Amino acid sequence: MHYRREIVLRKLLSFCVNVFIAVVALAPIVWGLSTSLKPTQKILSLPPEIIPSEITFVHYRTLIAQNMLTYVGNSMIVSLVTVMLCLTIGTVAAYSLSRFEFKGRSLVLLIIIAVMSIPIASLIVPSYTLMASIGLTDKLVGLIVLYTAYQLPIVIWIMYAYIGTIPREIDNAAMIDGYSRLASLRKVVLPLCGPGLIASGLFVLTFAWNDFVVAAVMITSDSVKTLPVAIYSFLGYFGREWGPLLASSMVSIIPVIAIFILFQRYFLSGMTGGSVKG
Amino acid sequence: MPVSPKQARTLKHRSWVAFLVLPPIVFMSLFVVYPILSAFAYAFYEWRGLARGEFVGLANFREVLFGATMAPVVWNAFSHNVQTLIALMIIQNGGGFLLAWLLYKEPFGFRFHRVAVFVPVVLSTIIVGFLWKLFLNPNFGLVNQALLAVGLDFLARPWLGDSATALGALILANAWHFIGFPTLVYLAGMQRIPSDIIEAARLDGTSEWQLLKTIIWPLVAPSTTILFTLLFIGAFNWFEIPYVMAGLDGSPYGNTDVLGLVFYRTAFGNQSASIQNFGQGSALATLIFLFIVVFASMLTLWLRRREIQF
Repeated sequence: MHYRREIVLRKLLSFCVNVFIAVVALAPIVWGLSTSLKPTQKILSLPPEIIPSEITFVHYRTLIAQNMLTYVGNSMIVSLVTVMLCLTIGTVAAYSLSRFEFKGRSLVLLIIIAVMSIPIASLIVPSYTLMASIGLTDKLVGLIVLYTAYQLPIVIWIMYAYIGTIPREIDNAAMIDGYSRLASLRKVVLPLCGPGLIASGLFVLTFAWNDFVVAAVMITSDSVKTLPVAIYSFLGYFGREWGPLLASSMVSIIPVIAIFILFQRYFLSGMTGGSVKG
Repeated sequence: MPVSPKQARTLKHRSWVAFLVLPPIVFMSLFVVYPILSAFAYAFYEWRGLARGEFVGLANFREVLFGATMAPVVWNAFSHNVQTLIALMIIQNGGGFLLAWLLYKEPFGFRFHRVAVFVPVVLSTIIVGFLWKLFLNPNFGLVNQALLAVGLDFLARPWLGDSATALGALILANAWHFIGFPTLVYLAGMQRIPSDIIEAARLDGTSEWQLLKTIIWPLVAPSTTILFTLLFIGAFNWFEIPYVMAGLDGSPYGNTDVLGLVFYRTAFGNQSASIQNFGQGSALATLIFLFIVVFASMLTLWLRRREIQF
């Protein structure tokens, strides 16, 4: 009996600690969301209301008047195309790295690790001059190209580890049954890669959706601004108007949080299958 | 010339591999490897704006490391990067390890907590910086108001304006942002430990602390290797949080200046001072890159060896 009580006490204690952690982790986001829905005059009222007594979308309407939909659209195009490019090119490459023996295979793996450890900050200057010389600055295509190049290594790395856990016999059997190489990759191996694809896809998506540094340097025209760059210029434009500022933050964070929560189970298993093996 | 079946097969095999592996290699070489090599080259020239001038040898490097105007700024920033690295090593990675241990024991609602801890990681750094700037606002910020509400008035201060607390505030904001990542990686490492090892230790009456110190920590060494290396790279690349929260000059008085900010100011100019020196910027970028690569690979090798020892 005594032993059991101690277990209950311990569970209770660790539960309390966990609740505290969840509050610390989520409170800023909940606070931001609730503030963005309050009318301006109530934002700084004390004590702060967690659930606003009066809900208004006025700040979100202000944002729409400030071209917000264009920026969201730009960010969506850049993120989706980057994710698709990275996953297709990366998975095919990971598949051949995992299934074919060829000269220079370890060299390719070495390049991937080296590229992964290059700090993006030190790439800014030379990337800018390169993109300027081929006319891709201030264009969404330019961002897509750079994001793809930066995120390919991590995709290949995760998928290489993930495909490695799928037995070769499966695709050999498919080829004996008359499938071609590509058909066996598409119809047999890919369906087994779900968690790996989701984990790497989420890595790429959060990078492309959130990136500020690269976009801030490459993009100058208003019509091709992505969301983070737009939010950063809002910081100057709206100054102390917390309503529209927090509303713009919510526009940026709610989609990623929703996608993460939707896919988190696969993400966790895919990530532990891939990145941790290093 | 007739091609033998075997030759045909290797030829086919080769073209397959080339077709599948070349696209990413071309992409990465063109947009990552080539730029980093050309940055190296830029550093040896004098620049007027974005136009290349004369070859000046090592002059840019000398100015960055020993020059009267650049060197004090660079070394001041470097010391802040080192402080950040040490603090985050303890708060972010150490804290992540402890959080992972809490989650590993699967308390009530652990699935929810596991997601909650990771949610900040997927947010944009710009927004995290902005949110924390609001919380730390001297007049309206939640932090100071909470301190006043519980009667700890003497602790309330302009966190980001005070030289003593500014860098620490940035470090804490960063830890809040990213602690979910080490937590999940450590959790995955712990879940890979065969559970009979832990049960056997428990039956032997090992205390919680002993268990963590002598069994769990050594067995998650591979996770530690990855996390410490990534943190090392991240700490010397630190840019976005200081940029949003403290501004390009690392205010107050350079107390939050880090290498990333110095580099950005030097290469792209600063609105207030408008001094732009692309050559020195490139030299600094090259030095940061070399420093990170050399020390990160040494760190990885050392941590890998430690894994085997355990």
